[in-house]
Amino acid sequence: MQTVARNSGSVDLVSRIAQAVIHPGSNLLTNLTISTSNFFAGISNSQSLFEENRRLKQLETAAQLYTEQLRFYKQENDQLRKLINLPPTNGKQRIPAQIIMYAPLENRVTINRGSNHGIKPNLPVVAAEGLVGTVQTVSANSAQIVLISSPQLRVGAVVNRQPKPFGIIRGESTNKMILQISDIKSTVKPGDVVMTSGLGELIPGGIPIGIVSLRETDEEYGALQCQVFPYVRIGDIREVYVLR
Amino acid sequence: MNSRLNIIVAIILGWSAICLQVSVAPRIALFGALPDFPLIVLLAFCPALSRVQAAVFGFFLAIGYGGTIGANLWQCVVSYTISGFVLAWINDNRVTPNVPVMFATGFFGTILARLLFMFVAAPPGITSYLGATILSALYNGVLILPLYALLKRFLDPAFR
Repeated sequence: MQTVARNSGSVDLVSRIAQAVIHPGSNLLTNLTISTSNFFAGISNSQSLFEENRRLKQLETAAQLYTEQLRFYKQENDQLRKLINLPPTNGKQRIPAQIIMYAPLENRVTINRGSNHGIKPNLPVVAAEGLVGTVQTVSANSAQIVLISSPQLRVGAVVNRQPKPFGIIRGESTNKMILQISDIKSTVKPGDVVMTSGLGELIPGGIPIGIVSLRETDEEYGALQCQVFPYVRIGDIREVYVLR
Repeated sequence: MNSRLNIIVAIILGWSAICLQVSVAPRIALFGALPDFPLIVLLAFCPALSRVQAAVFGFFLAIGYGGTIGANLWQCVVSYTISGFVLAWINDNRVTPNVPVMFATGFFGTILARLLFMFVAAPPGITSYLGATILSALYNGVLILPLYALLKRFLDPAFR
């Protein structure tokens, strides 16, 4: 029952009941934990927060200008794609959401947005640091996200260097992902940035995933594997965006 | 656990443990190890329960926790139910609960639950899984002590 429901992107009855019972308490505790830690962090870092706030205000002004330019280029890109009969790029609409439940051992989190807000299975979820995962199951007002650290999730990825080696990335543990590259002669090095390739149907390209920490070549099978350290630290994030 | 009070306490603690697990646990990780609050509650209750009662309590905790986080329910149910049964059976055999015994219950109970979890569906990276299991077992072994002290104080004589 659970597998059938999950494959269709919905939540089975038992899980729905469990979530309905647990959500109010877990929401309250999550908010309480965050407020408490923010309160103490605010007291201990007040001087640096003041400085940071000043810098961020300056950055915000620059970002507004940059966002306007970006919007202009996106519109232009869409028009050009339309002219050559290509579909519009994915992930233009951002649906803000908050993580309300964490299950890092299961490589899942739950967000407070669901089908009522336009969330559908397989949509990508991002945080400020990079790709968080994709939507697995959706109920009316919540959705479960499979994290990028899950071995279940495979995402098309590219290493940000010239020439760009393409590959598939999958999770292995909370702090380790494996990027498999078909081109064994690729010059990928530790420290290179890994991003989404945008070759899939739903995940747009250019979203940061992590940084290459180790390169392993298997000459016998003609494969190149890289260990990737993810950018997103799931325990630290609260706000995410679902890209539609 | 025959009295109505004990059942109510078990339900409240089980609910609180699941809420804590999905909201607080990821923020209090130590060296990458997370506590397992539902398992701590189950193991802390074991001295007061018969084998069947512990298995039933473990079953419902697993359904509640597994359903909430969207985990494989079968895996959770096997892990929690058998762990509850085995630990209650060990406690049935005239083991007097005290601080070292409860620490051992938390430690070995966690190891047993995680191993069962692993045997039902092996996770990738067995070495890192086992490392995290040992750290979590130590964490649970420590966290079970204050809970046991509270339960012993308020639910005696169910706790021997």
